[in-house]
Amino acid sequence: MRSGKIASLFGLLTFAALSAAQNADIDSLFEDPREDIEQAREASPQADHRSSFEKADKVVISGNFTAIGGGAFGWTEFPDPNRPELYWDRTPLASSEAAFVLNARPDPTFRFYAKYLATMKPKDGFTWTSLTLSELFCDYIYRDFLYARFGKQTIGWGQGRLYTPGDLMDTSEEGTSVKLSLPTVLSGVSFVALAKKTYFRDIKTPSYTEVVYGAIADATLAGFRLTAGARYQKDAKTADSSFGLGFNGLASIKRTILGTDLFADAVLKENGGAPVWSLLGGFFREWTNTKLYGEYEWDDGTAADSVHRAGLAFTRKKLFGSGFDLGFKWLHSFSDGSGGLAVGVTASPQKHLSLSFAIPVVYGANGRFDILDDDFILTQRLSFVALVKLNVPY
Amino acid sequence: MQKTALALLVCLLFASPLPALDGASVLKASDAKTSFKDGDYSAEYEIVKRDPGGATSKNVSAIFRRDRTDQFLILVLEPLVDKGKGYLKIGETLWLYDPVGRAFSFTNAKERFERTSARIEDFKSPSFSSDYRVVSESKAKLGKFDCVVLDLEARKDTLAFPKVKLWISDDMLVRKREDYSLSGQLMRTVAIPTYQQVGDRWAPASITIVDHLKSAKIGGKVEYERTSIAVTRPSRKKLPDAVYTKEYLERVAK
Repeated sequence: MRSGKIASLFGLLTFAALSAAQNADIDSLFEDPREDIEQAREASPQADHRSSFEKADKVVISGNFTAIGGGAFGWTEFPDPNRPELYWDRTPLASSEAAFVLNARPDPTFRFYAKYLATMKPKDGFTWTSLTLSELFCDYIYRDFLYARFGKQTIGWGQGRLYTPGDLMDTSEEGTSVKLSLPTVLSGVSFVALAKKTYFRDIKTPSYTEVVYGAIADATLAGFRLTAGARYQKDAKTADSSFGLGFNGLASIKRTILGTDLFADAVLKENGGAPVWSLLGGFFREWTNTKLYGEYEWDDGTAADSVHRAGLAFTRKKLFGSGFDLGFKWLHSFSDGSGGLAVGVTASPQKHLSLSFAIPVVYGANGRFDILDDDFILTQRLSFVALVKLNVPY
Repeated sequence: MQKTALALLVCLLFASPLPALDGASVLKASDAKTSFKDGDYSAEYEIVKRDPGGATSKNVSAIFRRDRTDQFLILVLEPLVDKGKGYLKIGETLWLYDPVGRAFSFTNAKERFERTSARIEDFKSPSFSSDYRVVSESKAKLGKFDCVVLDLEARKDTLAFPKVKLWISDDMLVRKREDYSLSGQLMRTVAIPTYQQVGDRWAPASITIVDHLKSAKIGGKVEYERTSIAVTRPSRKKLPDAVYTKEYLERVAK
C-alpha cells in the first residue's frame, strides 16, 4: 500500500518534471520571437479564400480503381461438432470497379460533374459492364442565394446510417431531378422534382402529375435540429415500390448530448391506402479513432411484413496502437429473430493495398447474408473471410 | 490655503498611476482585440503535426469566421484526399461534412481537429471572458514579454478544458495558454509568439501546441506530439451569408 503511494507520488513528480522540461522548451519561443506584424503584408481585403473551392482553371479528372479478391470458408448451416465436414463450403469472392470522374468549375456560379462506373463481378460471369453513368449534374448558383442542381444526382434525406426509412428521395439516382436550395432560409430549404422513365405512361407526352415532388426544411432551435420533409406523386405508370403514390412525410429531430448525436426520424407513408408509420431512433458518437453508432427501427407495416429491428456498429482505427483497424457490425430483426453479425480487422501493409479478415455469422430464416457488404452476399452461416483489396485513387 | 490644498489634491490625483486593469477586464480587452465582430475574417492555416519520433503530417485549411453571429467554417484544402471536408459552426451547433459519404454529422467542438493537437474550438472567435471566470492573477515575464498570468475556471461544462492558465502580454494579446483537466493535469500548452494585424484587430501568425497527453519515449527522452500552425493571407473580405450553410459545404465538396 505504502509502496503504491510512493510509486504514485514518483509518477506524479516524473510527469511534473517532464511537463516542466517541455514548458522550458516552449518558453524558449518567446526569448527572441519574430516581431508582431503590424498590418500583415499578406492581408488584403481582396484575398478570397473561397476561390480555392469554387473555381478551377482546369477540368479536374479523377477516379479510382478497386479490385478485391479472396474467399469465404465456412458452413452453409451451423456446423455439427460431430460431423464438421457437413455443410462445409468454400466460396471465392471477387469484384472490381473502375470509376472515372470529370469535375469542372469554370466559374464560381457554375459547376459540371460527371461520374462513370464500370464493374466486374463473378455473378455477372466475370464480365466488365460497359461504362455507365453513375452521376451527371450541373450546379448553378444565383447570387449566393439560390443553388440549383440539375441532372442525375444522389439526394439523401433522413438520418439513418444502418436503416434509412427517412430517405424519401432514395430513388433519385435512378432518374433525373432538379433540386433548388435556399441555403439561408431557416437552416436550409430545398425543393425537388424527380422524373423517371418508369413513372410515365406515355414517355412522349409526360404529365406533370407523374413527376415526384419533394420539399424539405431544416431549422435549428435551442440546440435541436428539426427537419420536416414531404414527397408527393399523384399518378404514375409504375411508382417506386418503397413509396407508392400519394403523400410521404418525414419529421426528424436531432441533438447532441454529452458529445453524442441522438436522433429520431418519423416517417408516414400513405401508399394509396392505410397510412403506414415508421420510426427510427439512433445515436452516433465519434472519437479520434473510434466510431460507435446504433439504430432501432419500427415500422407498423402490415401484420405480415412489419419491421422491428436494431443494429449496432463500431469501428476502431489503430487498435491498441497497432496497424490494424477493427470493425464490428450487428443487424438483428426482432420480427423473425434473424440477423447477422460480423467482426473483422483490416490492415494496410503497403500503399493502396489492404488485407481484411472477418468472421461473419448469419442466423435465422431471413438472416443478413449481406452483413459484410451488399456486393458480397454470403452463402454461409458461419465463415472466415479473407480479402485483399487494391484501391488506387488517381 | 484652501486653494493650495485643492491644487495639491488635484496634482496628487493626476500624478497617481491609472488603476491597473483587473483580470476580468484584461480578459475582455484581449477578447475584443482578437475578435472580428464587425464583419468576416478568413485566412489559410497550414497545420503541421509532428508525432513523437518525428513522423509529420500536414493539413492546409481555409477558415472563415463571422464572430458577430458565432459562426465559422473550416474547409480542408490538403491533403487532397480530404479536400472539401468541412466543419461548420452555427451558434451551438457544429456540423462535420464528409464529402466521400456526402453525410453530415453533429460533432463536438472539444474534439481534435483532423487528429492534430488543435481542438475545433480553437478556430472560433476568442471568448475567454464569457467562457471562463478569473480565479487568480499574477504578473510574470515570458521571454521578452511582460505578462499578466490569469488562472481561469470554466463557467460551463461544454468546453474542452475546465481549467486554463493564460499569459497575456501588455498589448492585451494571449501569448501562452496551458490547458488543464478538472483534476489539474496539464493537457496542452499553446504558444502564440507572433501576431499579425488585420485591419484594426489582431490574429495569430504562428501557433505552437504541445500535447502532453500524447508522448513516447524516444532514445531515452520523452517526446510529445507537437503541432505548428502558420496563419497566412488573413482577409477581411465580406462573405455572403450562404458561406455559413450546409448547402455551401455540399456545393464546394470535391
